Amino acid sequence: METLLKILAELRPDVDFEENKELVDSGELDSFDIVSLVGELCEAYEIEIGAEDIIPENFNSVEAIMALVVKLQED
Amino acid sequence: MIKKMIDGQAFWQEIAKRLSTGQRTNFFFSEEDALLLVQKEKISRWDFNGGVYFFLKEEKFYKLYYFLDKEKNPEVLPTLTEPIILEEVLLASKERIPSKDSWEKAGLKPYLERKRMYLMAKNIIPEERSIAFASENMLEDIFYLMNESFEPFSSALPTKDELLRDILNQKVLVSLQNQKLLGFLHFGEMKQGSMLWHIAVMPQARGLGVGEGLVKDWIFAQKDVKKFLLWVRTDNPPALGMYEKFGFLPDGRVAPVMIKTT
Repeated sequence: METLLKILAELRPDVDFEENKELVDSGELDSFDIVSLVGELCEAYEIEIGAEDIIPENFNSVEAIMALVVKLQED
Repeated sequence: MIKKMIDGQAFWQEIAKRLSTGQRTNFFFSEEDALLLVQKEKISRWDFNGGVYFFLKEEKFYKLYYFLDKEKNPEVLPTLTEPIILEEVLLASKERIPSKDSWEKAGLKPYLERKRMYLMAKNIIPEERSIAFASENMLEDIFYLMNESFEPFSSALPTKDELLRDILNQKVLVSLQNQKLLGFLHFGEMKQGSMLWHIAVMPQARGLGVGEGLVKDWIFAQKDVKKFLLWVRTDNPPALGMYEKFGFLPDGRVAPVMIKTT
Protein backbone atom coordinates (compact mmCIF):
# COMPACT_ATOMS: atom_id res chain seq x y z
CA MET A 1 0.00 0.00 0.00
CA GLU A 2 2.86 2.36 0.82
CA THR A 3 4.33 1.95 -2.65
CA LEU A 4 0.95 2.69 -4.20
CA LEU A 5 0.43 5.84 -2.12
CA LYS A 6 3.90 7.02 -3.11
CA ILE A 7 3.17 6.46 -6.81
CA LEU A 8 -0.14 8.31 -6.50
CA ALA A 9 1.38 11.19 -4.53
CA GLU A 10 4.04 11.64 -7.22
CA LEU A 11 1.46 11.46 -9.98
CA ARG A 12 -1.03 13.88 -8.41
CA PRO A 13 0.33 15.74 -5.38
CA ASP A 14 -2.82 17.90 -5.29
CA VAL A 15 -5.26 15.03 -4.69
CA ASP A 16 -6.31 13.58 -1.33
CA PHE A 17 -6.24 9.87 -2.18
CA GLU A 18 -7.20 8.64 1.27
CA GLU A 19 -10.45 10.63 1.29
CA ASN A 20 -11.67 10.50 -2.30
CA LYS A 21 -13.49 7.28 -3.22
CA GLU A 22 -14.65 8.48 -6.64
CA LEU A 23 -11.32 9.41 -8.15
CA VAL A 24 -12.38 8.71 -11.74
CA ASP A 25 -16.11 9.41 -11.47
CA SER A 26 -15.45 12.81 -9.87
CA GLY A 27 -12.88 13.60 -12.55
CA GLU A 28 -9.94 13.92 -10.18
CA LEU A 29 -8.08 11.29 -12.20
CA ASP A 30 -8.27 11.95 -15.93
CA SER A 31 -7.29 9.66 -18.77
CA PHE A 32 -3.72 10.94 -18.71
CA ASP A 33 -3.48 9.98 -15.02
CA ILE A 34 -4.87 6.52 -15.71
CA VAL A 35 -2.43 5.90 -18.56
CA SER A 36 0.51 7.10 -16.43
CA LEU A 37 -0.70 5.08 -13.48
CA VAL A 38 -1.09 1.87 -15.49
CA GLY A 39 2.53 2.17 -16.61
CA GLU A 40 3.78 2.88 -13.09
CA LEU A 41 1.77 0.02 -11.55
CA CYS A 42 2.97 -2.49 -14.16
CA GLU A 43 6.55 -1.51 -13.47
CA ALA A 44 6.36 -1.32 -9.67
CA TYR A 45 4.38 -4.52 -9.15
CA GLU A 46 5.57 -6.47 -12.23
CA ILE A 47 2.02 -7.06 -13.43
CA GLU A 48 0.23 -6.73 -16.77
CA ILE A 49 -2.99 -4.72 -16.83
CA GLY A 50 -5.18 -5.76 -19.76
CA ALA A 51 -7.73 -3.66 -21.64
CA GLU A 52 -10.57 -5.33 -19.71
CA ASP A 53 -9.14 -3.99 -16.44
CA ILE A 54 -8.74 -0.38 -17.58
CA ILE A 55 -12.19 0.65 -16.33
CA PRO A 56 -13.19 3.42 -13.88
CA GLU A 57 -14.27 0.97 -11.15
CA ASN A 58 -10.69 -0.26 -10.81
CA PHE A 59 -9.27 3.23 -10.29
CA ASN A 60 -11.91 5.02 -8.21
CA SER A 61 -10.13 4.61 -4.87
CA VAL A 62 -6.82 3.56 -3.40
CA GLU A 63 -8.49 0.39 -2.18
CA ALA A 64 -9.84 -0.44 -5.66
CA ILE A 65 -6.45 0.12 -7.25
CA MET A 66 -4.79 -2.05 -4.60
CA ALA A 67 -7.40 -4.76 -5.12
CA LEU A 68 -6.66 -4.75 -8.84
CA VAL A 69 -2.93 -5.05 -8.18
CA VAL A 70 -3.44 -7.95 -5.75
CA LYS A 71 -5.79 -9.73 -8.18
CA LEU A 72 -3.28 -9.43 -11.02
CA GLN A 73 -0.41 -10.54 -8.82
CA GLU A 74 -2.37 -13.68 -7.94
CA ASP A 75 -3.28 -14.47 -11.56
CA MET B 1 4.75 2.08 -44.62
CA ILE B 2 1.88 4.15 -43.23
CA LYS B 3 -1.42 2.29 -42.86
CA LYS B 4 -4.86 3.50 -41.84
CA MET B 5 -6.46 1.92 -38.75
CA ILE B 6 -9.89 0.46 -39.49
CA ASP B 7 -10.70 -1.81 -36.54
CA GLY B 8 -11.41 0.23 -33.39
CA GLN B 9 -11.63 -2.73 -31.01
CA ALA B 10 -8.34 -4.14 -32.24
CA PHE B 11 -6.83 -0.67 -31.85
CA TRP B 12 -7.94 -0.37 -28.22
CA GLN B 13 -6.78 -3.92 -27.39
CA GLU B 14 -3.39 -3.07 -28.86
CA ILE B 15 -3.19 0.18 -26.86
CA ALA B 16 -3.97 -1.63 -23.61
CA LYS B 17 -1.43 -4.34 -24.41
CA ARG B 18 1.25 -1.75 -25.11
CA LEU B 19 0.42 0.10 -21.88
CA SER B 20 0.57 -3.07 -19.83
CA THR B 21 3.98 -4.03 -21.20
CA GLY B 22 5.38 -0.72 -19.97
CA GLN B 23 5.93 1.00 -23.31
CA ARG B 24 6.34 4.75 -23.03
CA THR B 25 3.62 6.83 -24.61
CA ASN B 26 1.90 10.17 -24.89
CA PHE B 27 -1.39 8.46 -25.75
CA PHE B 28 -4.06 9.29 -23.21
CA PHE B 29 -7.41 8.84 -24.93
CA SER B 30 -10.17 6.89 -23.25
CA GLU B 31 -11.50 3.73 -24.92
CA GLU B 32 -14.58 5.63 -26.10
CA ASP B 33 -12.52 8.39 -27.74
CA ALA B 34 -10.08 5.92 -29.27
CA LEU B 35 -12.90 3.97 -30.92
CA LEU B 36 -14.43 7.17 -32.26
CA LEU B 37 -11.15 8.32 -33.84
CA VAL B 38 -10.76 5.03 -35.70
CA GLN B 39 -14.40 5.12 -36.75
CA LYS B 40 -13.81 8.58 -38.26
CA GLU B 41 -10.80 7.14 -40.13
CA LYS B 42 -8.49 9.68 -38.53
CA ILE B 43 -5.76 7.31 -37.31
CA SER B 44 -2.85 5.96 -39.35
CA ARG B 45 0.05 3.92 -38.07
CA TRP B 46 3.72 3.49 -38.82
CA ASP B 47 5.40 0.43 -37.29
CA PHE B 48 9.08 0.03 -36.62
CA ASN B 49 11.29 -2.17 -34.51
CA GLY B 50 10.64 -1.35 -30.83
CA GLY B 51 7.53 0.75 -31.25
CA VAL B 52 4.85 2.39 -33.33
CA TYR B 53 3.75 5.90 -34.27
CA PHE B 54 0.07 6.70 -34.60
CA PHE B 55 -0.78 9.80 -36.63
CA LEU B 56 -4.07 11.55 -35.93
CA LYS B 57 -5.18 13.61 -38.93
CA GLU B 58 -6.31 17.11 -38.11
CA GLU B 59 -7.31 19.66 -40.72
CA LYS B 60 -3.86 21.17 -41.28
CA PHE B 61 -1.47 18.87 -39.41
CA TYR B 62 -0.91 15.43 -37.93
CA LYS B 63 -0.76 14.79 -34.20
CA LEU B 64 1.81 12.20 -33.24
CA TYR B 65 1.16 9.54 -30.61
CA TYR B 66 4.00 7.16 -29.90
CA PHE B 67 4.55 3.88 -28.12
CA LEU B 68 8.18 2.99 -27.54
CA ASP B 69 9.92 0.12 -25.75
CA LYS B 70 11.70 1.27 -22.62
CA GLU B 71 15.20 1.58 -24.00
CA LYS B 72 14.13 2.54 -27.51
CA ASN B 73 14.94 6.00 -28.80
CA PRO B 74 12.42 7.67 -31.10
CA GLU B 75 12.64 6.56 -34.71
CA VAL B 76 13.33 9.21 -37.34
CA LEU B 77 9.95 10.51 -38.40
CA PRO B 78 8.63 10.11 -41.95
CA THR B 79 7.83 13.24 -43.95
CA LEU B 80 4.09 13.70 -44.30
CA THR B 81 2.06 16.11 -46.42
CA GLU B 82 1.32 18.32 -43.37
CA PRO B 83 3.39 19.26 -40.30
CA ILE B 84 3.68 16.69 -37.50
CA ILE B 85 2.96 17.88 -33.95
CA LEU B 86 4.08 16.09 -30.81
CA GLU B 87 2.38 17.21 -27.62
CA GLU B 88 3.11 15.52 -24.34
CA VAL B 89 1.61 16.00 -20.89
CA LEU B 90 4.41 15.47 -18.39
CA LEU B 91 5.05 15.77 -14.72
CA ALA B 92 7.39 18.73 -14.32
CA SER B 93 9.15 16.98 -11.44
CA LYS B 94 10.14 13.96 -13.53
CA GLU B 95 12.88 13.57 -16.10
CA ARG B 96 11.54 13.73 -19.63
CA ILE B 97 11.88 10.36 -21.34
CA PRO B 98 12.35 10.13 -24.31
CA SER B 99 14.43 13.28 -23.97
CA LYS B 100 13.97 16.44 -25.98
CA ASP B 101 17.34 15.71 -27.63
CA SER B 102 16.22 12.29 -28.80
CA TRP B 103 13.10 13.80 -30.36
CA GLU B 104 15.24 16.42 -32.08
CA LYS B 105 17.33 13.57 -33.56
CA ALA B 106 14.06 12.08 -34.81
CA GLY B 107 13.33 15.29 -36.73
CA LEU B 108 11.27 17.44 -34.34
CA LYS B 109 11.99 20.97 -33.16
CA PRO B 110 10.82 22.62 -29.91
CA TYR B 111 7.74 24.72 -30.60
CA LEU B 112 6.21 25.90 -27.32
CA GLU B 113 5.37 24.78 -23.81
CA ARG B 114 2.34 25.17 -21.53
CA LYS B 115 1.75 24.48 -17.88
CA ARG B 116 -1.48 23.70 -16.10
CA MET B 117 -2.75 25.85 -13.24
CA TYR B 118 -5.71 25.45 -10.93
CA LEU B 119 -7.72 27.46 -8.44
CA MET B 120 -10.01 25.93 -5.82
CA ALA B 121 -13.39 27.69 -5.62
CA LYS B 122 -13.32 27.60 -1.82
CA ASN B 123 -10.38 30.02 -1.94
CA ILE B 124 -12.35 32.67 -3.81
CA ILE B 125 -13.98 35.63 -2.14
CA PRO B 126 -17.33 36.14 -3.92
CA GLU B 127 -17.95 39.33 -5.86
CA GLU B 128 -21.06 40.53 -7.67
CA ARG B 129 -20.40 41.18 -11.34
CA SER B 130 -22.52 41.89 -14.33
CA ILE B 131 -21.61 39.19 -16.80
CA ALA B 132 -22.10 39.24 -20.57
CA PHE B 133 -22.40 36.00 -22.51
CA ALA B 134 -21.68 36.07 -26.22
CA SER B 135 -24.65 36.08 -28.57
CA GLU B 136 -24.99 34.39 -31.94
CA ASN B 137 -24.36 37.61 -33.90
CA MET B 138 -20.85 37.85 -32.38
CA LEU B 139 -19.79 34.49 -33.85
CA GLU B 140 -17.80 35.91 -36.77
CA ASP B 141 -15.92 38.48 -34.65
CA ILE B 142 -15.05 35.96 -31.94
CA PHE B 143 -14.01 33.32 -34.48
CA TYR B 144 -11.79 35.84 -36.25
CA LEU B 145 -10.16 37.07 -33.03
CA MET B 146 -9.60 33.49 -31.89
CA ASN B 147 -7.86 32.50 -35.09
CA GLU B 148 -5.77 35.68 -35.11
CA SER B 149 -4.69 35.22 -31.49
CA PHE B 150 -3.72 31.55 -31.23
CA GLU B 151 -1.11 29.47 -32.98
CA PRO B 152 -2.82 26.93 -35.25
CA PHE B 153 -1.21 23.61 -34.29
CA SER B 154 -1.78 22.95 -30.60
CA SER B 155 -4.42 25.41 -29.44
CA ALA B 156 -7.36 23.03 -29.91
CA LEU B 157 -9.29 25.74 -31.75
CA PRO B 158 -12.96 24.90 -32.27
CA THR B 159 -14.57 24.94 -35.70
CA LYS B 160 -17.08 27.68 -36.36
CA ASP B 161 -19.94 25.22 -35.70
CA GLU B 162 -18.42 24.12 -32.41
CA LEU B 163 -17.92 27.74 -31.38
CA LEU B 164 -21.54 28.55 -32.23
CA ARG B 165 -22.71 25.59 -30.15
CA ASP B 166 -20.65 26.86 -27.19
CA ILE B 167 -22.00 30.41 -27.64
CA LEU B 168 -25.56 29.06 -27.55
CA ASN B 169 -24.68 27.00 -24.46
CA GLN B 170 -23.35 30.11 -22.67
CA LYS B 171 -19.75 28.93 -22.68
CA VAL B 172 -18.37 32.14 -24.16
CA LEU B 173 -18.11 35.35 -22.16
CA VAL B 174 -17.46 38.71 -23.79
CA SER B 175 -16.20 42.12 -22.89
CA LEU B 176 -17.92 44.85 -24.89
CA GLN B 177 -17.65 48.60 -25.34
CA ASN B 178 -20.47 50.33 -27.22
CA GLN B 179 -21.52 46.90 -28.52
CA LYS B 180 -18.04 46.34 -29.99
CA LEU B 181 -16.06 43.26 -29.02
CA LEU B 182 -13.01 43.95 -26.83
CA GLY B 183 -12.32 40.36 -25.87
CA PHE B 184 -13.80 36.94 -25.14
CA LEU B 185 -13.26 33.96 -22.87
CA HIS B 186 -14.21 30.45 -23.98
CA PHE B 187 -14.57 27.79 -21.31
CA GLY B 188 -15.93 24.30 -20.86
CA GLU B 189 -17.04 21.91 -18.18
CA MET B 190 -14.93 18.92 -17.36
CA LYS B 191 -15.47 16.34 -14.66
CA GLN B 192 -12.91 17.90 -12.37
CA GLY B 193 -14.01 21.50 -12.89
CA SER B 194 -14.33 24.38 -15.29
CA MET B 195 -11.57 24.66 -17.90
CA LEU B 196 -10.58 27.93 -19.53
CA TRP B 197 -10.02 26.97 -23.17
CA HIS B 198 -9.33 30.30 -24.87
CA ILE B 199 -9.10 33.92 -23.90
CA ALA B 200 -8.18 36.75 -26.26
CA VAL B 201 -8.35 40.54 -26.28
CA MET B 202 -8.44 42.81 -29.34
CA PRO B 203 -4.97 44.32 -29.98
CA GLN B 204 -6.19 47.88 -29.38
CA ALA B 205 -7.75 46.93 -26.03
CA ARG B 206 -4.75 45.16 -24.53
CA GLY B 207 -3.26 46.42 -21.28
CA LEU B 208 -6.59 47.84 -20.08
CA GLY B 209 -7.59 45.01 -17.76
CA VAL B 210 -10.03 43.43 -20.22
CA GLY B 211 -8.49 39.96 -19.80
CA GLU B 212 -8.52 40.26 -16.04
CA GLY B 213 -12.19 41.23 -16.08
CA LEU B 214 -13.04 38.24 -18.26
CA VAL B 215 -11.24 35.84 -15.93
CA LYS B 216 -13.20 37.32 -13.01
CA ASP B 217 -16.43 36.93 -14.97
CA TRP B 218 -15.58 33.29 -15.65
CA ILE B 219 -14.88 32.56 -12.01
CA PHE B 220 -17.90 34.39 -10.64
CA ALA B 221 -20.35 33.24 -13.33
CA GLN B 222 -20.30 29.70 -12.03
CA LYS B 223 -21.63 28.90 -8.61
CA ASP B 224 -21.33 25.12 -8.41
CA VAL B 225 -17.79 24.64 -9.68
CA LYS B 226 -15.20 23.31 -7.24
CA LYS B 227 -12.10 23.84 -9.31
CA PHE B 228 -10.98 26.17 -12.11
CA LEU B 229 -8.32 24.96 -14.52
CA LEU B 230 -6.31 26.38 -17.38
CA TRP B 231 -3.24 25.79 -19.51
CA VAL B 232 -0.98 28.78 -20.00
CA ARG B 233 2.06 29.23 -22.22
CA THR B 234 5.24 29.39 -20.17
CA ASP B 235 6.63 32.07 -22.54
CA ASN B 236 3.77 34.44 -21.65
CA PRO B 237 4.82 36.21 -18.40
CA PRO B 238 1.93 38.74 -18.43
CA ALA B 239 -0.63 35.92 -18.49
CA LEU B 240 1.27 33.88 -15.90
CA GLY B 241 1.43 36.93 -13.64
CA MET B 242 -2.28 37.59 -14.02
CA TYR B 243 -3.28 34.04 -13.10
CA GLU B 244 -0.89 33.99 -10.15
CA LYS B 245 -2.49 37.21 -8.93
CA PHE B 246 -5.87 35.47 -8.94
CA GLY B 247 -4.36 32.66 -6.82
CA PHE B 248 -3.91 30.05 -9.54
CA LEU B 249 -1.22 27.48 -8.68
CA PRO B 250 0.69 25.13 -10.97
CA ASP B 251 -0.45 21.51 -10.51
CA GLY B 252 2.84 20.05 -11.70
CA ARG B 253 1.80 19.31 -15.29
CA VAL B 254 3.69 20.68 -18.25
CA ALA B 255 2.92 20.14 -21.91
CA PRO B 256 5.83 20.71 -24.28
CA VAL B 257 4.96 20.81 -27.98
CA MET B 258 7.39 19.94 -30.79
CA ILE B 259 6.95 20.22 -34.54
CA LYS B 260 8.27 18.72 -37.77
CA THR B 261 7.49 21.01 -40.66
CA THR B 262 7.04 19.65 -44.18
